[in-house]
Amino acid sequence: MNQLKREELQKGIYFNSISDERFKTNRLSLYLVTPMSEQTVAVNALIPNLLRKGYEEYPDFTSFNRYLNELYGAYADGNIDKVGDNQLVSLSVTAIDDRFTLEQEKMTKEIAHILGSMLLKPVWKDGQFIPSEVELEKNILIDEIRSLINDKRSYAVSTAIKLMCQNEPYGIGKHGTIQQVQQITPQTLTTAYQNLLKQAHIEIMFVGCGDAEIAKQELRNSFSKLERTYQPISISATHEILQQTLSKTDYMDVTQSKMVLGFGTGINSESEQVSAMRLMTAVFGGTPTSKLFLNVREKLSLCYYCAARFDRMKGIITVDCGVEEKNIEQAKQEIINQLEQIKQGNITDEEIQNAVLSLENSYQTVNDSNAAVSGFYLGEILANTIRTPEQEAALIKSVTKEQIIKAANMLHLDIVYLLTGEEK
Amino acid sequence: MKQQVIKNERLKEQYYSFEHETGLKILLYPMKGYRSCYALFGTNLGSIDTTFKTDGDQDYTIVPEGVAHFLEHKLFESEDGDAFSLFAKTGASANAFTSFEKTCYLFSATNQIEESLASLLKFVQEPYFTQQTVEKEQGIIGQEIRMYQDDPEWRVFFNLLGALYQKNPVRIDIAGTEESIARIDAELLYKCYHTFYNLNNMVLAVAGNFDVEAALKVIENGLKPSQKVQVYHQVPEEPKEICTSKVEQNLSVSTPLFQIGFKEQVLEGLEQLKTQIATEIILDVLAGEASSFYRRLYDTGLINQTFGYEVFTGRGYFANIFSGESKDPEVVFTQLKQEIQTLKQQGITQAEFTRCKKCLYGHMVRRFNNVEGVALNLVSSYFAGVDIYDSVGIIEQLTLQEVNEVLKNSLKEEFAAISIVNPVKE
Repeated sequence: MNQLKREELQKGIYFNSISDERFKTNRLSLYLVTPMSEQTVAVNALIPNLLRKGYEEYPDFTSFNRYLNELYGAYADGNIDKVGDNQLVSLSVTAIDDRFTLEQEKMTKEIAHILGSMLLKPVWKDGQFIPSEVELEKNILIDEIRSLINDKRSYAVSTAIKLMCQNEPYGIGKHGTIQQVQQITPQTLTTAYQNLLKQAHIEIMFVGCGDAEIAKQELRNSFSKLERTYQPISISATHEILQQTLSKTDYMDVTQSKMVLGFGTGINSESEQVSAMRLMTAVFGGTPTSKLFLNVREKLSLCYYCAARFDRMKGIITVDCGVEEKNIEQAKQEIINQLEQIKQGNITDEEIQNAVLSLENSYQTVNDSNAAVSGFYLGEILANTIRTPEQEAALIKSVTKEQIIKAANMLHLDIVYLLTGEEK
Repeated sequence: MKQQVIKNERLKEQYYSFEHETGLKILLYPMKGYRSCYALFGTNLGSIDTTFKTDGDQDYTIVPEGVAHFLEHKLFESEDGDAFSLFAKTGASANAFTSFEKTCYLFSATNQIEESLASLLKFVQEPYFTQQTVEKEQGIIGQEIRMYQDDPEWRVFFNLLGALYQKNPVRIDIAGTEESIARIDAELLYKCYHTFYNLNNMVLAVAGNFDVEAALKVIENGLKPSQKVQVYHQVPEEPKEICTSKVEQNLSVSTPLFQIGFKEQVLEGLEQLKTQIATEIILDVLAGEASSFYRRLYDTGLINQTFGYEVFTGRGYFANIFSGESKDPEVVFTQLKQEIQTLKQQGITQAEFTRCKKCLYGHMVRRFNNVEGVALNLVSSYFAGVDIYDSVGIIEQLTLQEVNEVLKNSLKEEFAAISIVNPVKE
């Protein structure tokens, strides 16, 4: 594993690479980072769905995919995400390396060309995205928003976060609302796309065994004609702890209830307490030796899953579980009780040691997959920390028991959200 | 111990295969430069194994559905507590899973690999079940079963299997039902354990960052003597015909979910693998993202990005499954059947074949990109009676004629069924 190399191609456009000859593939991805707002969220969410389908040379989905097949089943995709108070519009291309081709094709240069073209040479007609394509993708995005309820676990977590962050950009759903999608026109989509290219903070990640220089040159050329009015943006934005505890119950036709407890911590990714908070979360409910797993699941047999997760960009901790309706109150009390134990310092050295080893193991494992490497460093870059997995692990190791207790005492229960069976 | 080095020139890869005196198959796949090590200890016992006997038994034993999965949960517990705590000391991430035809225990670790390997061997070979711990687990697994009852993707899949298969236990949920697991007790778990968790019936695969010599030493010390027991699985004779061609359920979803399955003729070993690879090419030509069929359905709003297909195969079952979300799943079904007819009449062209073959080859090369994938692939190849490199060899040699021959004999309308999960009516 080589060090991360980072270079600004032009204002606000960064090319990052990690070369590693163990891999048989190269993964090239590009992230347009832009502040989340009600006005642009839906239209931005639609952009990757059109860009992923082709570009000038391969103007339709079928011809583009036939071409990807020829490139040994290369993958091209578009995606949408949110990190802190920002929206991430992303494109990625993955393919096997030149060394493994049957006919010595130049794969690295080609995937860089594809990625650059997907972003910069979209299929337009009369100076805008094609109306029929826009209409089709709008309908598909609307279906996607509707189908968020299909996965009850993730639906419950995202609903809880929306509610606890209702006064912050992070509280906006990453796809926008159905109504917002309906209002999109080819013209508004084209304008939003042009604004993104001009203003977004752009991060490009190359991870693989191929020559990153080739990809960088190709993309540098692609971006050279782009005119930008870029202003630096801030990624981390601390969630403001609520004054009281919100509580909300939604009813749906479900067999098992889902409960989410959302906590504010008052810190963000640049805070010195991040490592302590991570370790505290692991001791609380991040591993099979955590307090939640051992007590709520193993001892009381209340849940199949009951886990805690920390979002360092916003400083939010969520605990979520699937539980039978009659046990909801008992599970809630036990989760709060376990947190109370940590707050009071009832943690053994063994519990801490186990959590440290477990986090250390996950950091070291990052290096073994190019998707994980790419995701890890993107996170570091956006968090404005840029450390290696080893450095993150070392920070975790240096956390003391007192710091864990202090971190636990920063938690405030902002919301108790419940998704349960039909109201009787 | 018999040792063999297995190499592949095309992939520039190799691994070691051993036959241990206890009967255990050991597959060691060191991967240079990787930080993590992934080890799997698996037995040939899956959810479909509900009727079995050993060469010492007179009669077949029939066990409640969900036993394999229940056993998996319970083996994680020893007399001194949870097996997770054994791994907690090394920071390894441990887990287990039960599929239709196997149960595997695993860990992923970056440090103290030998210690973790010793722990893995130890806890799997030391069953500890009491009535009290069995009862506690009934509560946890009960919640797991309930979680899946609300999972539309899971339901639409099992409803399809129930439609395609009349007798094969593949039609039953892996975890069983709340009612079937209530019939499980400690004695039954011991019986299943002693039948299937016999080293002759097991495999150990290690991939990634580890030292072969050191690992062998740990394995040698960690294996308990094992009686040579032959296990007979009795899979009920499955008729060629499907059970029913349509099954529906209502759940809280927004758009209907569907799975369309074609029941195929089951083969074994290399022959099965070859048919499977030919079928993957056929499905890609027929309904892949580069096909005109995919485009037509997508552009008319009948499918979205969730549309996909898979070749679903294992001991005693083989089906081709198309799945996705659609406003009108029945129309997707009709159009798919028509498209298959057209493809059968015209046959696959040389250009389509070459393109999809290249694509599949690329996907196979990728599988050797990560430690976890390699370890899992070693185990499933072993239980399927093939080698991990066989797929690459088969794909290189596969001809258009062979693929068209498979096409002619598969995807038949009379063996097709559709499963739909509809939104709950307001």
